[in-house]
Amino acid sequence: MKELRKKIKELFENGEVDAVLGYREDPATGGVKAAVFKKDETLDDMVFDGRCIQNLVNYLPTLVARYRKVGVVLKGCDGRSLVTQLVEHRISKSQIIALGIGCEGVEIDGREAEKCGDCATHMSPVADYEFGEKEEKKEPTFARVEEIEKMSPVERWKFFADYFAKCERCYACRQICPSCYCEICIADQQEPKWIEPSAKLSANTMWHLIRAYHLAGRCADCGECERVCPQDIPLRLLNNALEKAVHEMFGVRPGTVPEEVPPLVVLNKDDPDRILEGKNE
Amino acid sequence: MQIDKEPKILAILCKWCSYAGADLAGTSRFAYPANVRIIQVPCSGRVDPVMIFKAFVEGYDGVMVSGCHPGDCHYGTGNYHARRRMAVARRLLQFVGVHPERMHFTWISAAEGKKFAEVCGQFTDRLKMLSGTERTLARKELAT
Amino acid sequence: MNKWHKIKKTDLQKYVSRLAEKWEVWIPRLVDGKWEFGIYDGARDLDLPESIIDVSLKNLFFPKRRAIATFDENSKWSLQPVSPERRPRIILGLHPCDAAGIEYMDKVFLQSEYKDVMYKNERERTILVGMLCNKMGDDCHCTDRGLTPDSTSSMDVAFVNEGEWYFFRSLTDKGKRIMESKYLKETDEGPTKNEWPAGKYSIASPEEFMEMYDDSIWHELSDICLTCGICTYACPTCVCFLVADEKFKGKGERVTVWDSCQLQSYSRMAGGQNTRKTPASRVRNRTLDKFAYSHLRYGRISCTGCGRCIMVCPLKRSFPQLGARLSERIREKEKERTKVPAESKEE
Repeated sequence: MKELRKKIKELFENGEVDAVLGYREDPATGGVKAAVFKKDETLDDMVFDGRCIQNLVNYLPTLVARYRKVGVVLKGCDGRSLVTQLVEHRISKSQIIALGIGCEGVEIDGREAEKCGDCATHMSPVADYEFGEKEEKKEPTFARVEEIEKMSPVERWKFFADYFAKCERCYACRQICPSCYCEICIADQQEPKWIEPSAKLSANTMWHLIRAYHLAGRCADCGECERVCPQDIPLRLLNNALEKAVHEMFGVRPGTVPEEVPPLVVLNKDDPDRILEGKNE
Repeated sequence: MQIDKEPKILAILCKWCSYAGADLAGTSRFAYPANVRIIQVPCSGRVDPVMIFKAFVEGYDGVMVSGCHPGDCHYGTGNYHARRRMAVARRLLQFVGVHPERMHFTWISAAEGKKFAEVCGQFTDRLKMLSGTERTLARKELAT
Repeated sequence: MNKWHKIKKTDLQKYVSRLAEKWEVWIPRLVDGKWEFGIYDGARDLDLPESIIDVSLKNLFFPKRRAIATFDENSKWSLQPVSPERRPRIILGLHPCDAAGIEYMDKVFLQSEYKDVMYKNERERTILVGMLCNKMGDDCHCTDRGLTPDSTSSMDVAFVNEGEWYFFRSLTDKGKRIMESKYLKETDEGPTKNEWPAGKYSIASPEEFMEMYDDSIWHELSDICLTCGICTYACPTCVCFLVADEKFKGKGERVTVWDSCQLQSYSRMAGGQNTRKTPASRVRNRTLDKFAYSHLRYGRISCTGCGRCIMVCPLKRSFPQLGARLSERIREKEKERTKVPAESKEE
């Protein structure tokens, strides 16, 4: 933390950044909140610890429009998120100074977040400066996805229908997702109206299928959608299932390799036809 | 719950190959089941998985998507895009509990009227094997 | 003033079971760790929360999705009105902030130019049996909003939880109908009155809020807001809705569905124009609607101080805190303004 503050101060003094996006202690709630630090502002209340679960990349597009150069504090998973934004040319790397922090896991309500148990990126894949320990990379296990895959179709649908029925369609999952940035979301589109506005099972199912599909090969698994869901719908599970599928079929793990193009915007003439049968072998 | 014995199938066919193939099946008087409702699209690359999701949610028992054979796309590469999209859509639908037999993705050329009739027949037969409960997501519970 | 009736706590379940024979009785229940209203079926022991119920009862009067008309192939797609539910019901165990929310909805749906018949029907078939709070929850701030945990306005019957007893008192003629029971005994005693601490989020007056319309502070207040719609759905006084026609296999319904001013699509008009495109403008709309517009239109600010918006916020942001911050800013501005003439005099 000391190093990080020192570096940021240095960056400000050298005029390398105009603003730094980080976490600030919030005495009102006893937690932390996302904050923009500017030059000549105190860095004393800047923190990084287990409470810093929020993915800050979501705020970057508005910030790069306002400032010439923005520093951003990144956990491993947030770093992957940043990569997805860079490859989609939503943000230009020339405007970003990435401050990667070796993350040792973050917590929700005092307990380690579920995503951290399966974490494969402790350090951001893009980092101009790295702080803290860099743990060894490992492969994610997708244990939760495999559990569902053992179920029969009927059981699976029962599992998901119970959750989908609870959805209130507040769109917090969409709003917090760095990769959900359509000018007009398909859920808000009037003509044709693919998704009905009312919170009923059929329309909710449409929404969740489309949300998951649109993130296939783009979702970097920051898990924010599931965290913010007021009804605790396992949204990350859907994302993970597609992350696993995309990796199996196209060998791509979104956000881990800078410059790698999302698999669904490119084509490969050599894709085997068996993927259409839902088989991998 | 009462279910229709005859499954309803939505076939989304590309204009240049598969739709022409279906046409040929008709003019050649090959019999194929009347369960199939056809939608013509300019190219299989036009098929947005949203259409497939909607078809299931609106109560179709099976969805079939077909385009030109790889390499034969009228627009060059539409079917390669479609292949990736359909593969991902299938994995997602299977994951939330749509039976794998309820989706069928294939390539049918304009000359393959016979293949079209066969594919439709086989697909219909496979769907008939599924019980009502296995045809999840198309059930009455979705009405509200 | 009607007399207090007391009932032993152990008898309450029997009393409610008796009521449930004739009425549809709604009580708070714990579902997945959250308190929400559900129909009493006697399956579980009656347990009443002493403070805020997590899910507001807005849904019971103005449902998330409600059909207002149906149509089908046989009627050649012409609209048929939905027959309203007539069975009388009792909602038991709501708190003063819930009742205040209903009072506000009455103003919107019944006392304005256009009357909502569906809402009117729901309202008429319901007897509100309110329970006064024993304590204030972490996020409760009704004392800042002209209410107290023992306000009884809009309730038909109010009851107090004290020691081994519940003290019931009917407040309206409607409420008297449920007071005749062998379990309720008339008494001259009454519950003790509590003193309540002031809340944490006092706010400025509606007129002062209106003056902040063009202030730059809205950007600061909306800086990290996601503009999702959950606070409006949780709010007992957010009553915006949209109308949609929904069709499924040969029949359909015209429905009203909750809408939220926090969503970008809310203000989008034909042709793609959007009057509230920035988060700041949407946050401003909701804040001013709660603290100013409602007062100008219906004579009462619409925030009831229940604190549900704080409980549901994905970022744990506090909407009332936002109101308080705004009031702070108003005071700052006021100071600046009064300062200027004093200085100019010296010159």
